[in-house]
Amino acid sequence: MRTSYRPFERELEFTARYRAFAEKSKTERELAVLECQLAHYFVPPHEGDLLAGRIDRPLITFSPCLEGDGIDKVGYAIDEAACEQLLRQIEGDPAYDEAYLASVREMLTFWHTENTNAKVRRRFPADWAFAVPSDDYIGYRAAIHPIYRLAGLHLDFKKLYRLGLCGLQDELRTLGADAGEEKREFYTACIRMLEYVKAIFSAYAEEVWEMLSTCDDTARREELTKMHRCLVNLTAAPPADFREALQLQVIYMLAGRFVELGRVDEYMQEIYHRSVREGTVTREEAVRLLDNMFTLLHEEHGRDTRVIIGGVGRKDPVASDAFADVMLDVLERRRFCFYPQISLRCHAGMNTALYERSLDLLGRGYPFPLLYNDDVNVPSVMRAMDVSRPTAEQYSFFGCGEFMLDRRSIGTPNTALNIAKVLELTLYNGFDPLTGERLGLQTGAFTDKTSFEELVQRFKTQIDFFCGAAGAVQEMIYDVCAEEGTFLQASLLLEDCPARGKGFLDGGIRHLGGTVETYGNVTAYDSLVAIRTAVYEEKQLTATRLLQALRTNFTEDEVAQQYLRRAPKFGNDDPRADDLAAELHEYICEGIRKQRENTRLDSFLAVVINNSMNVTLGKHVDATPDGRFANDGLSNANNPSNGCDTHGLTALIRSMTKMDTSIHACGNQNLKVSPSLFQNGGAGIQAVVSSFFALGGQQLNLSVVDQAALEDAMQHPEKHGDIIVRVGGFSARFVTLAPEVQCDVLKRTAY
Amino acid sequence: MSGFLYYIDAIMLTVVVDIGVADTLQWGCEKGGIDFPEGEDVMGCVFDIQRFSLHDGPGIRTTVFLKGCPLQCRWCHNPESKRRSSELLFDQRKCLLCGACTATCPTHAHALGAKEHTVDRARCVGCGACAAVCPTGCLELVGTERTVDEVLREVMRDAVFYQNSGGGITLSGGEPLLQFDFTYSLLAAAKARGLHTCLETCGFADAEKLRRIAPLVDIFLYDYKESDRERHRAYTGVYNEQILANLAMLDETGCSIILRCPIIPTLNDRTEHLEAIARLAEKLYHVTEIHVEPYHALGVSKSARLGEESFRAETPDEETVTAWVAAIAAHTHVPVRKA
Repeated sequence: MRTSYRPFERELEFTARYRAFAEKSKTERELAVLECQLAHYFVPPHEGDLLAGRIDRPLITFSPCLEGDGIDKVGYAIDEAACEQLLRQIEGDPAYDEAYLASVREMLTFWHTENTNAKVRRRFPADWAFAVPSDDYIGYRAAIHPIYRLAGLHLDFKKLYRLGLCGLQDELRTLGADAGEEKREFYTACIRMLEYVKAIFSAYAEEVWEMLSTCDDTARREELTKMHRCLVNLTAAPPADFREALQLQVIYMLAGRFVELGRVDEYMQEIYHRSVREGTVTREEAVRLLDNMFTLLHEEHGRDTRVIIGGVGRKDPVASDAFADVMLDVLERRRFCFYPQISLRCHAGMNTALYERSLDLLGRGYPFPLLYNDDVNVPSVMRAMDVSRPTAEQYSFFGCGEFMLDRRSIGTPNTALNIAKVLELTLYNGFDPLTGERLGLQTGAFTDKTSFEELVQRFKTQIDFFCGAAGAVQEMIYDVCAEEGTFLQASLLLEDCPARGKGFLDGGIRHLGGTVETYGNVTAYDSLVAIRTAVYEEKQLTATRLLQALRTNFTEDEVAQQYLRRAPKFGNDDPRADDLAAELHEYICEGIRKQRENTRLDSFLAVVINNSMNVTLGKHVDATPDGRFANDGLSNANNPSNGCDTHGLTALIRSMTKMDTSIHACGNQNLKVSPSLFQNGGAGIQAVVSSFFALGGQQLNLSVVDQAALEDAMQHPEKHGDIIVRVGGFSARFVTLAPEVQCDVLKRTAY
Repeated sequence: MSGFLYYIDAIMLTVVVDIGVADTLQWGCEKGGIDFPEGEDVMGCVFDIQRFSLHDGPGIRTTVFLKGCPLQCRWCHNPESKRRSSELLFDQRKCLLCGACTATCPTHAHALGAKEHTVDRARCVGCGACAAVCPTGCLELVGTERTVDEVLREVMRDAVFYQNSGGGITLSGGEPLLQFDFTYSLLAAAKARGLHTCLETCGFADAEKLRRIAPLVDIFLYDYKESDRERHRAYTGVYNEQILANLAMLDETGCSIILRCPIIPTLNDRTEHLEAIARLAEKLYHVTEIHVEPYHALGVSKSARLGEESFRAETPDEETVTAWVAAIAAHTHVPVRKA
């Protein structure tokens, strides 16, 4: 196993292969580059690793999703900034002659236009391309940004465990025997691809054997011996025990850049219980192995993921719940590591011990598990995706919480839509008030003659336009990716692809879905409510004065800001605010959902999720009519704007649960509660959660924090390294957050 | 209204209430019966309805605060509750001198200077016109007349939370018994909907009223402020005989009682008072808990917004409060805790 490469050596070989296969089919080309990519991808285990699986990623790769240049990249991807930097490093080095440097420069120029992201962008048609001017969602003030990726692939690891690499090849051979020419290419290619994966295990087996020869430590020798045995066995047989199962899965996931762990208590429980019964693994050992597996995936992939436990639709709920309990041991062991995000699917009649232990962990300051309500989510998924109950029971989620169907669908978010920005463009007739750039439709200037109904209608017209663009971007990314590759490693383990003999983007997958990340929704709703109140009902402001106040960021008209702030706000169980919010929520979600009629997508759904993007995207929005200052953070997920919920937790929950959950792919709710709610055996928090669920709440991210401690932590971070907060789609140690994100967390009302 | 009529009200209300507000929930009461809505039309002056109250009785509760109090406790933390009628709170710091109030006030109670806004309390009639147009909320009207039905509609919004937590409604103030008709009707209507009820009272009320209202109250949150007769008068404006007699009466009736004891440094944090609290609880049969309520300074800023002077004490630290709790607990079997 090689551990070091001459700069650009692997990339040049990869590129040469790509070019040599330019005239061949996309599948052949993919195989050719994968052979090269996988052969030079893995590096020896680190000290202390129980499982093999470390990578050294080249700068030009083929994968479903990879980060580079500050954004996500799909398919054939190049990290151009990293390449330029490396090139500068070797340019002055005599070890690299001019011919070598020239070949590198030529390669970089080639990929600048040949990478998949660029191919997608070149297809944007003029009728909406002006509204999607940039891929830079951190720096550019547009309302919508494309996100190039194929994410949220939940693979059939149960099948991987059952058949192993050789068994999968056997199955493909059987399928291929009766298949026509077209399908046969898929089967043959998958078999060869698995050969490349097997080679990783062989290479690792040799490597570990070498390591054993130089290792004197008895305990480490024992671990390496076990590791070696696993690696050898897996090249020829399906996993014999839990350790082998995890070893197989981790290398497969790293090799294909798959990040989703999915319903672990469904696919891991059987081999776990068998191994414990047969004495090949103890519970403690299993916890350590899982811990190490998560560490490898976290450190090598560095991308957020979910572990899902509990819920309806599992084959053997008792055995699965017992394994879910093991997963909570892993959670305790990984207290300060927020990967993966363990999420518990709850439902009436669930295992109460599992539920109570989960609440107890939350009460003790753990950020997980996140709580999901199957009693609401299953019917919601049935309606949102138009699927049957048994199918909906297999809903799964990833990243910040986007719903998709385990093993049967993909639900990548390929656009980020800033709803607050859409409202801003509505107020300024499609133009950005700061730069003057046209970024939306020209729906008319907002003047003293405009009626409120007209204004809302213009906002809806803009929303329609952006929903259409989002659907088009999504389809375009899938189309271009389907031209670029078959994505063999993923397709092989998605439920319908092998039987259909097709890649998942070529019609192999049963349910082709997509999602739109929406941000600042409540900021927009509250803003319209404030306009209705202050301009039209109370007549405290005119449209002209309002726009003037916004343009000057309220510096010259604080009175106007105060009137706007006093208007009803979402989050207080106040119908004056909540009713319009619920109506617009429905309009936006349905606007996105109906794009499936204009595209080949089976479902296309909004997500009202959260991460720190509400702070990032807030920097692109001027002062808003809800009284928010320019550049301040936008509302987060389905939460009220910070500090606007002033009528108690019950009122907040009633507002949140007014939003229809059956028309999107999940909305997140963050509740910041104080530890006192967990006193007396947790009766208080149980009452809150069960009431929230009874009212139709679909999921809950609980942050249990002492507000005074947070305030102190901003002054004395050294004393509060142990405070964990929920930022949004992820959790973090409070003291490690950027100051503006800390403020954002602090400003949320604590109950 | 005579005592007899109250009694009739009670009977009618407990059996006949329009439960339209609760019709999405099952609260074990049947809809229908004779139309007798008077009880829910009774008006009362309410100054706050606080949802998600966790400290005014068991479970998750909604606390309704009524205006008006017969006592004048020096440390009162709700000074805006003392007067029976609506009144204006004014916070000079928040004022932007926009002039919306001067243009609206029918009695010209507001005067704006170059840097200052003054309220002439003698002119103010508490109509709230200024508060309605004030952009910053520096002017705020406390106390609005509301019907039992209106209040209960708001309370019932959290029915599911009461059901899941063993919570309900709490009436507080001020002194709720001062608005007896309203308090009685509200409790009766709440009971008719199957709600758990708490009544916070200072106990300075007509014994007959208390006796009549007792069947509608699941738990009395009964204030016990000072054991020494003269000091009681000095601190609250009244002697404590009636309060003690009412407490004994409720205890005899079998009402469940939580004693709520405000402890104010320099006034009643004396050992003999703490021990007297314990002895009182021991003597009674139905005191289930003693809550120590340490002094806090929230009332000070509110007094300022009312244009009044107020008493100030030092806020006790955690250690002091623990010592108070221990001093009481040493002499009684009744559980004692910090509220």
